[in-house]
Amino acid sequence: MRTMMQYFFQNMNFRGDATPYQDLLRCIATKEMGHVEQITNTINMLLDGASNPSTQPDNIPLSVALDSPNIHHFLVAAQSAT
Amino acid sequence: MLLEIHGQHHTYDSGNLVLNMLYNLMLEATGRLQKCTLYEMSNNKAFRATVSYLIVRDLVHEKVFAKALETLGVSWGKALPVSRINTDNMPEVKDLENKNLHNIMWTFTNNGEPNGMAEIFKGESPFDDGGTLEVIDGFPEGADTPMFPESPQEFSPGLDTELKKMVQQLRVT
Repeated sequence: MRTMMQYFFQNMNFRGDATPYQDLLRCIATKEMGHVEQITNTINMLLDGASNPSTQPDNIPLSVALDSPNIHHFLVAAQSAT
Repeated sequence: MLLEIHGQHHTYDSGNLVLNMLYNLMLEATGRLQKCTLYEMSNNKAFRATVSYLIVRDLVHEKVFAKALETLGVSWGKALPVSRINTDNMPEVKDLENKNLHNIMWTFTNNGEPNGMAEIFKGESPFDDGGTLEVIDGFPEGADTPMFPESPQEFSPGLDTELKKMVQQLRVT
């Protein structure tokens, strides 16, 4: 995510006519978008089925969140990548 | 995690080409190092498939910025002997390198659109892996992205009967 934004900004902020370097930054920024998509999908696939699809709070369907190394997957991202 | 993997949350652009290329090389080298440590944290197949791909592609990106520095007269390897972390014991990484994915960049441009990257990214690999760099016009092959089921316990997407009806109407018209 950070690399994607960093190269994208360096590309947009580029000054002067050394355009091969700007092209290079734009290519890598685009490739990084694919990486972000791939990582997000991988994390989402790994999280799929991690909790209990119940509408009854007393079943504690999200109890796994407290055992997870990153509670934010469940707390702020609806069981998705954060 | 996507933001936190590099330990810092801001983006960097000094406006100075050499400094930017240097910073970007460090970013990719650090990113690859962290992915190599991630590889060692799980042997889940899906996890390793993605992490291995990123280890290979981070190496290409290191090569891009290393080449850019070399064309600007910077002997980065002498000044900064950034090591290429050995991945010989990671078979998934080896499989991808056998497809030469650690030496290829795509332009992401439409047919005939000019792109100057090949003026920089060409010749021998700047690392000691004996590769030859290659730029391919256009886009890499993509893949289908998965569709994930609704998750009532997370209230996602949170469409009640009324809202679902509205979505249905949208599809009819």
